[in-house]
Amino acid sequence: MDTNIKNSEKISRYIFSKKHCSVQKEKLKYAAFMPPTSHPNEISVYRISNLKESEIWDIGIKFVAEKSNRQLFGRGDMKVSDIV
Amino acid sequence: MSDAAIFFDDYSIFDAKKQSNNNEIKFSPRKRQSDDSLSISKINESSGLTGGKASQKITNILYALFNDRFNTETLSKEHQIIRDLKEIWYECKNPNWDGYDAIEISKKVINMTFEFLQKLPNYIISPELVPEPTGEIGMLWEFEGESLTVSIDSNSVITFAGLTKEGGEIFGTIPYSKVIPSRILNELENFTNN
Repeated sequence: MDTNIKNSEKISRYIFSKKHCSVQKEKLKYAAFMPPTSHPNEISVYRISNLKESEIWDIGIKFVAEKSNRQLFGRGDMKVSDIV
Repeated sequence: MSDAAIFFDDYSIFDAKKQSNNNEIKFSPRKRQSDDSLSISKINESSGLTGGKASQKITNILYALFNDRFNTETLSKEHQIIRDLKEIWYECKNPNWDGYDAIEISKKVINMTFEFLQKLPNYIISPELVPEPTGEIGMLWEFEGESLTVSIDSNSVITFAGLTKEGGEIFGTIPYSKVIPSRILNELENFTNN
């Protein structure tokens, strides 16, 4: 995979707390993007451009949910340009 | 509607395959799988009921869920806050509740947030309560492009941050000593007046 990340690339943040989602607005709340105190300058997002929907969910389940032993609740999709 | 869909949360009303708008972060819920704990088949198995009894039990649960949701609208402001805080406590009382190393929400933080909310004047609208990975509870006010978040940590320090309609930022920290600081009250009043 190209290590050069373009602004137009799509990335995803997997969500495990329903309190971090606004269902009516179909948006994530700010707290979904707050880093943990153990790594105050980092949050995990995943590159999803050109992936099928099922592949995107698989990444969340295999590499995030199973590692943290949590049930995946949803995800937020955005472009790199939305956050940099 | 399939059996599995009956026990979807409200979130099921959205199609997980919806595409996001170009400049917006879009939330997509994960659809429940057959092995999820709240599926109809699991309830039937665990209840030991079959046929008509199982159906009746499911009907009762659905009726209770509906009534619970319906009653939410008629709950008093204080009851609604208690209910929200209880939900947060249940979901966030253990470390790593967000899957990314979050600190647990302590009873002290729950109590301090409740106390703060009780002291708000009645003309201030109730905020959304948002658990934060830092172990605090954000009180979030949002209205037409404006937002204000206030949280209190376990050391009694209030942190606030907000965005104005014009794109301006406000933020800061203030010690909390059982009285809502005038700075916070002023910001909330400005927010309510706009």
